[in-house]
Amino acid sequence: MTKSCETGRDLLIRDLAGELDAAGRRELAAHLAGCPGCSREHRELGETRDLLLVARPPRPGSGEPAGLWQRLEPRLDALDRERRRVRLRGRRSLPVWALPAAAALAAAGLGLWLVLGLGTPARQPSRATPERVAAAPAGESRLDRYLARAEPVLLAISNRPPGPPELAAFDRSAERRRARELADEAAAVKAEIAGSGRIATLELLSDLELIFLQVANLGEDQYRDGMELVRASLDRRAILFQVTLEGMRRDGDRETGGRADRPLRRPRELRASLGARPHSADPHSEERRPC
Amino acid sequence: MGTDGDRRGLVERARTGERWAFREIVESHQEKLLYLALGMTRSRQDAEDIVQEAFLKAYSSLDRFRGDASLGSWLYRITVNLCIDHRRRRRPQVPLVAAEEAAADRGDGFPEPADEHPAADPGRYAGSRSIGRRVDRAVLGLTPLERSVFVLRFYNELRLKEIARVLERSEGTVKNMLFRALRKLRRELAELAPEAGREVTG
Repeated sequence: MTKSCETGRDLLIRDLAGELDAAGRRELAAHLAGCPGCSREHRELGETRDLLLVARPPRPGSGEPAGLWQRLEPRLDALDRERRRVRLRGRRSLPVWALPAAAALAAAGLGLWLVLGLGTPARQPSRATPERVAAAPAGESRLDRYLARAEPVLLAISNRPPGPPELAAFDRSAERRRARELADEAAAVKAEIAGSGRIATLELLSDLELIFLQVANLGEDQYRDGMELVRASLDRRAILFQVTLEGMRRDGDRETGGRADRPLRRPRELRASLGARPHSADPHSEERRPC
Repeated sequence: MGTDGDRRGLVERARTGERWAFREIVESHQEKLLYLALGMTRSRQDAEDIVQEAFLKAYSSLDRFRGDASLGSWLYRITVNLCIDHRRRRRPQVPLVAAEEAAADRGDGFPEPADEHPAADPGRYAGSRSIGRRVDRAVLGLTPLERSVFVLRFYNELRLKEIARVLERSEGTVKNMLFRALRKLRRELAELAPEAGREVTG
């Protein structure tokens, strides 16, 4: 292609798009007169454009799609309700939990787990889990196991695009079931380590319980937007980072026998942990990701 | 549709929860978004679903609307992205051609505008159902970006500069995409145009 053909191409496209002024049209005509290749292309593409313009579907009429607002408004209402619910729960979770916890600490370990259990935000009855009443020392390793299970699920929630509307209800119900289990488990683990005085860990477990409860309670009609709000909530509270941090603390505790004067994790491990997508550690975390 | 100032005011009011303001936004843009989605998906049902999703998405992200793009460009962008996601999700499930053939057989996949809107433009599609299908198939064969540029220019009649803003690409890229789209469509539809059978050069 010659230099003048390059210029001619630009003019040609603008002409096909209907955006060439009179001077441009004169310039294009001069080029086409001396260039059979560009001239033929201009003619052929012009014919194609004209065919496509004739064959395009009619412009939608006024008010189309008919009944759009009537279909849309209930969904906007649902979105508003969900936003209010998330805001309300976000505000309630800490104060309601934190006040009895502080009181119990001041009372020198007077059955703290019981207070926490009563102070937990209202939620649906959990399944009976035998581990839930296990002795306190088991709580630490159970916390490890719980965090290992929760992390890939959180990553999956955080990373994936909104689910397709046609997604099978079966997959969603599996996800909701899984989320409910993780919410119940968060409450159970919290109760077990309540006497340890690990306030940051207990707060994290409260946040996880709330996040998973939100997922578990999402209705079909508000699923996509609800998940978006959950993701926003995850981001806002840096939940994934906190889970990773908790893992680091615990790794460090194990390596140092409780001393915190050694590096907890190498930077590469930290990056991998923060950036990695879940693998096969938890099959449930992958089950809904759209292809 | 009012001035830019009016529209910015509407967004502000919608953002603070005034539902009527959002309704104004919906009603002043719904036909244009429907035409865009129809051009992108070639399916009336999918296009209507996408328009609804687009407004829902706009409503939930009004806080993120920066105001440096026009409201129309922002809504077009949301719709284009939903159309592209929509195709991506559908593609792996059923091969494109098979799905389209099946849909065409059922009579509900490809829009048949002359049948749906006989009063809108009588005769446009008369005797040319198969041409309509050929065109639909050829347009669906474009890449998402090529198709977006083609539809925004020739259906929604946006200028190249506006298309560049909607798609957040340079005007040069948009021109290139339009040229490539027309060339591909020429190859697919050569025998329907008067210059039947000729290869497009290059």
